[in-house]
Amino acid sequence: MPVTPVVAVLHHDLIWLRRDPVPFVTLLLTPCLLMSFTAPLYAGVASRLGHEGASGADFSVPGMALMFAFFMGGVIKESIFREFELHTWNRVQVSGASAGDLLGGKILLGGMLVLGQSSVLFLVGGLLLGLNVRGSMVALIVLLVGVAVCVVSFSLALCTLARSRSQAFAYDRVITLVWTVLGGALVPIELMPSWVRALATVTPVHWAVSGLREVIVGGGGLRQVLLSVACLFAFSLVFCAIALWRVSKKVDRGFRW
Amino acid sequence: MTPSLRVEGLGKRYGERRVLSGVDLVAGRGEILAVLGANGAGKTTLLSIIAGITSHDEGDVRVLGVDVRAHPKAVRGRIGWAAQDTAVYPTHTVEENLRYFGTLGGVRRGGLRASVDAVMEALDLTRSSRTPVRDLSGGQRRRVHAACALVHRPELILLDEPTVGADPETRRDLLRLVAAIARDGATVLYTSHYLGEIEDLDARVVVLGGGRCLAEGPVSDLVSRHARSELVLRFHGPPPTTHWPGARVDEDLLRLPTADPAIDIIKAVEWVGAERDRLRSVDIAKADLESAYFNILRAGSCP
Repeated sequence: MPVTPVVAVLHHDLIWLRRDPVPFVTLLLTPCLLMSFTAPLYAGVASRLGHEGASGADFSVPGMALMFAFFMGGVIKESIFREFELHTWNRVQVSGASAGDLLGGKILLGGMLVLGQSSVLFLVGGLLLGLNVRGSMVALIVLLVGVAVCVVSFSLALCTLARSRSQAFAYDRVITLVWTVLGGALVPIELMPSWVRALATVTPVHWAVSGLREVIVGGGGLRQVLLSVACLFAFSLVFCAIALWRVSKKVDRGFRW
Repeated sequence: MTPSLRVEGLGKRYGERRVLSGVDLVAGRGEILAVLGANGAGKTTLLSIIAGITSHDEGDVRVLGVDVRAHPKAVRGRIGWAAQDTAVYPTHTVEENLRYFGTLGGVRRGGLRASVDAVMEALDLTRSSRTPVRDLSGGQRRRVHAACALVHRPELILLDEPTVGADPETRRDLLRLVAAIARDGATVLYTSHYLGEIEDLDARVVVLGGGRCLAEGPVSDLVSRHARSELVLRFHGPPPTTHWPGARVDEDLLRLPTADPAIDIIKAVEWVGAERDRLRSVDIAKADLESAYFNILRAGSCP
């Protein structure tokens, strides 16, 4: 039974998701398929990069998990734009919840979805594709939480920057694909030209990939992923600041998208 | 006693366009205040400002004694707002929608069940409680829309054209409910283009025009001050000219103001005389809110 506005919003959105689970299920099944297709390709890459004993899944699973984590942000964007299209955004606030409560519920939903998706993908990778996490599980979880926070804050920023749902999703697809490629989630960064490697550091995906590689292939612990986690949270702070700034502008204009 | 709503000198601009200017309103507990005006008169903006959704540029708005600009959170949950556009979740059932808005409005556990059941009963939604809103008719959706504004038992209720698109039965039920809510002590701000509804509710009326308050008072007061009964004579072709005080020609109609229709109708028919063959019909248009409203808009200034 929901008792606080944030939990009520989360509960409400979960009902929505239960009635229309297709987006979530698609974002679970597609990476599973792609992971199984690409794992054999990465097997050769692993040995070429000097990671003897690493499986293709050690590269394909985190890469696909990251790319589709950012795509999962679409569910949050959908949820926010839906409130405006149904004219419920303002109504909810007059009813007793603040914009913070409303966004809080959606942030929780997004975080849960990204973490749930990552957990399923890593589980499938471990059980079916030969993924072997050599390092600390705690470090892996902390990294995935960092990724979830980054995805959610990025989605919020994008919602406030875009003028419409279609704009938000167009930007989302372009930015996610560019970040995924530049950040080394699809092709290991070592195989890219030096100028691309320099650009990669300005993408959150790069820091997530290097942290995950450190834990999965390098056997690292919490200390080894601290820089990656810190960078992910720094990106999140920037995204949140953009979102807050844009929201304050919109409030002055009557808060309409 | 602090009024439920006090608006003083309210002004609002959208860019260069002034939407509201110097609007004053007061509404006490248990009162129904109808806000009338043409499209674009500023009714919806006024309600949005009172709801704390839109900021205002000038003046003071106090809801239940609280300044909505300074402390918007303090009045949230104490207001029920049904905007013009239906704002409910189509994939959720009637009951899920009501439980959601009830919870957000601060109704907790045991009370929630009772509140949801009561509002469903009042708006004849009980049989549809487990039906997703998208499967309901337009009229039933309007009922759910209104019910969501009432489920948390707010002290101030803002209903912005709640009966638009509603069938006569829905309209009747909504009006009954609004009257009952006011009797229970809640304050209702009601906008509508159906002036008969305002007469049925026996509301106090504020007429907005060009963002300003043009007239204010009980329906009977406005009618007596701004409307007169008319004899309406319809002719074949243009009506004949007359020196009847205040007579107006409206295509083939001749409108003759009258304080006593029963006597004046005889005078009018006698006066028609030679033109009697061209006279098609004579009707009495009684003074009502509609004629008062149009006269107020025509005059365009506060009494």
